[in-house]
Amino acid sequence: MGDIPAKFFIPEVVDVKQRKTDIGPPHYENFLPPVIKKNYGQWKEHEILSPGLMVHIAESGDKIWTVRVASPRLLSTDTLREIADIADKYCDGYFRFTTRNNIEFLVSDEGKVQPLIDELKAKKFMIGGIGPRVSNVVHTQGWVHCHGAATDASGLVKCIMDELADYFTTKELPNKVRLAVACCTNMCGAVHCSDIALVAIHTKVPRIEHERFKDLCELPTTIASCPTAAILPDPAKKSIKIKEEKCMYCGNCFSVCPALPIKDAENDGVAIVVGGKVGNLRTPPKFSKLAVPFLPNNPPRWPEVIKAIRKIFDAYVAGAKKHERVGEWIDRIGWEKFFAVTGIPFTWQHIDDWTYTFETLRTTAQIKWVKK
Amino acid sequence: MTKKYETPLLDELEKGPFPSFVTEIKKAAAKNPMAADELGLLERSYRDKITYWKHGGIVGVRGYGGGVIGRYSELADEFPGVAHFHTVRVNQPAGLFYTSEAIRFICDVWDKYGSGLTNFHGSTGDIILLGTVTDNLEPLATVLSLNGFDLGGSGSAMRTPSCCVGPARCEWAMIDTLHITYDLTQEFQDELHRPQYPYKYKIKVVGCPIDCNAAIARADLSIIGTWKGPIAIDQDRVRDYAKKGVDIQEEIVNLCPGKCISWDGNSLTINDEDCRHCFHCIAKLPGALKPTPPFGATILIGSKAPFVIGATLSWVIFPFMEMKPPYQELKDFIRTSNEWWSEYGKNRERIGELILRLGMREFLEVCGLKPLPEMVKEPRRDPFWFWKEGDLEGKPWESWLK
Amino acid sequence: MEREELKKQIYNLIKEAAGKKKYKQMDVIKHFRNLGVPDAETKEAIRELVDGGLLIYTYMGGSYIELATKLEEFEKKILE
Repeated sequence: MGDIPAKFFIPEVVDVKQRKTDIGPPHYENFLPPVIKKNYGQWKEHEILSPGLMVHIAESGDKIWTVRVASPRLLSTDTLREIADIADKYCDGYFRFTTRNNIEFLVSDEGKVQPLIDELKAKKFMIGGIGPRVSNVVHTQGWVHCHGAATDASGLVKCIMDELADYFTTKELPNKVRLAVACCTNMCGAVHCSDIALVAIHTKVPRIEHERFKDLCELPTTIASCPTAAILPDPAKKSIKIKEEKCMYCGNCFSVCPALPIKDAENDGVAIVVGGKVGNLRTPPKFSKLAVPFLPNNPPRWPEVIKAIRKIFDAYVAGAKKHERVGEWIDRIGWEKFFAVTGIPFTWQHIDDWTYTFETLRTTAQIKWVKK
Repeated sequence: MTKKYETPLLDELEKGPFPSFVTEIKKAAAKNPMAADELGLLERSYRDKITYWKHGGIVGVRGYGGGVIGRYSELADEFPGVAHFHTVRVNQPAGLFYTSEAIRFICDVWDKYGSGLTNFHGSTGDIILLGTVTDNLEPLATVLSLNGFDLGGSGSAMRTPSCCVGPARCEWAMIDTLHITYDLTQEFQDELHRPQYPYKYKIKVVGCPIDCNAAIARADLSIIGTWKGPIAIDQDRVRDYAKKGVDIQEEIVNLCPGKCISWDGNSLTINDEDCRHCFHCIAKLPGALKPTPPFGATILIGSKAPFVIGATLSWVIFPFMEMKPPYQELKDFIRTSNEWWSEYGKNRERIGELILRLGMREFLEVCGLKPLPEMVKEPRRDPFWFWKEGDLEGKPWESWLK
Repeated sequence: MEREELKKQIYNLIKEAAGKKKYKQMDVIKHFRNLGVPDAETKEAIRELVDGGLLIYTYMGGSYIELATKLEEFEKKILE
């Protein structure tokens, strides 16, 4: 279990009866650089030397340098081979990925750090993302590969990161800003706890294909999938009915029943949520909250979405104190001031009328008077 | 030569400084017909502002119920290369470390059996191989297994556990996140490959309260490293930071949520009794402040995205658990709680949702746990509560008032 | 119950329900628990049927156990 062969191989003829099951992943020790194996769990401290370079120093005095570059997450085997070649040249073949899809080259020899950076720059890799900056964007599959996608995640990520590139490669922020994109409300990324995140939404009820329902869908599962109990049986048609006034267009019924398509080229859009975090530093983890309920889904560059993100981002940079995350900044200034400084119109959609009404309505006379 | 499509819209996404996924698809498309049709299909989605993928839901490899997500194009006639375009999830090595040989092997396998397109990594943590046909699945899984790789989880099953970089390259890791992840993955291979739960069950392990893997928000079982000892202070290093321009009063003392730090311009004092273990001061003064043993983990349960009842963050179940191999207490807890969930959970009901439906008391009692103030933000607000036979036995107020 | 007999009964349960009701693994286990079969035995029998290629796990709206023939029917239909 966890073993890899002395040399990886692909047999000429593959006998599927030889397939081994339940072996689990290879043991991580197979992939650790010697300096990490030697100093595993014995790191003393680290220093960020530049936006894309840090050094970790072990109790033994040993050091390892990490050079971080951005990745679109969607990688071709050509690019992976290029990364492997660079790792061979400067890192004895060792590298890793971060949980936010960046690539990290792990250098044991200080003399190879600068040549590595030079080659990465020459090859147009985007170096950075360490420290109080924008890191890479956690995101979902989108139109690239998902049946439920209301927008394309990779495209939005590309546009956001092009816009905020300076904050990855050089400029500092009050604290890190964690971005995420979900291409539907299923939210396969950490959208619900990110500083600034996008989630694609529908605005119309699903269409019911009664003929296909019989073949493809199970009644109890479909009814149970609805968060607002808007789905009722339609025994005459051996199908279902939807109470339109109760439907919040979440699309969960479509995930369990393909006969309820909800995708809609004209009416799907992108919402922005803000102020979430997962770390425990200073304040407990927080959910993201609704900032902008709808922007047009406008590929390939989504100009409205990018402009909106920029406005929120700039307001944070201008207003936050050092170490404040977006959510901590908003908590300090208050939501009325957040809407005032960003200029985002406050709408019906901002007031919770689902599960969290209780907790989200204001129950105090503490109010800031802001210029409207 | 593969088929070439005009892609005026996607070409716009090759401009700008951030590396382009379109360029990646084009690289693969130049030599792989599946990737070529993926590019053509994606351009169509950009034009029509709609997805063209169909539900899968059935295809897999023999014996497993997870690891493969079936995917078929709605426009198979026009783009036959993506008529089938299934995802394969390959269980990643813990910590996401690779060697060049290992990655070249994955590339060779995937060029042979798939589209040449990958994700490093999917949201859950797996290596994602993006796009293959049904007939290639068995040989692909066979070759992977002969080289020590196995498929990850999908469906109503345990999902591939994942972790932060941990003690491999971080001085703040207070638990061995890589080993815990590897060990749990091996322990629960059956649960991972053969869907037997009401719905998905994710495990994420992080070494400290910074939570670089979003464990508290994205895992049904969140394991977060923490400590019980005092914070060790290297006063010289603190003074160094002050000299280098860190405003200790403003940035450290004033931001402490426990209000337990003071600074007289020369030395830092921490009243550890009032420390909330948030990690801010330690993270902002690397090398100067350090957590000290005992080390362990806070174990939380129940976080998930909004479906069906709204998004949840995980709830504290064990404020502190020692994390020494073989992690028996943790494994027993996972088995006990998941047996309860499997017995009573409805289809597609996450364990956190079942806890809300049947009550935290029932869950804790099933797991043999007692109520603790660390489990709540605050006690209940209303005057309605259940009594069970025996709750007042032994007159609990007597020993308190004595 | 003898293992081969149990396997036959599990297979028939799934077969007769096809198109009407979908069984999750736990539903099958509970069904045979009511007939006095220990959970572990049912689980092992299911695994043998799945390993043998007679039954498969499907995952449309949650994971279920269904007839292996469903894949071929599904792919024929979806590729039409």
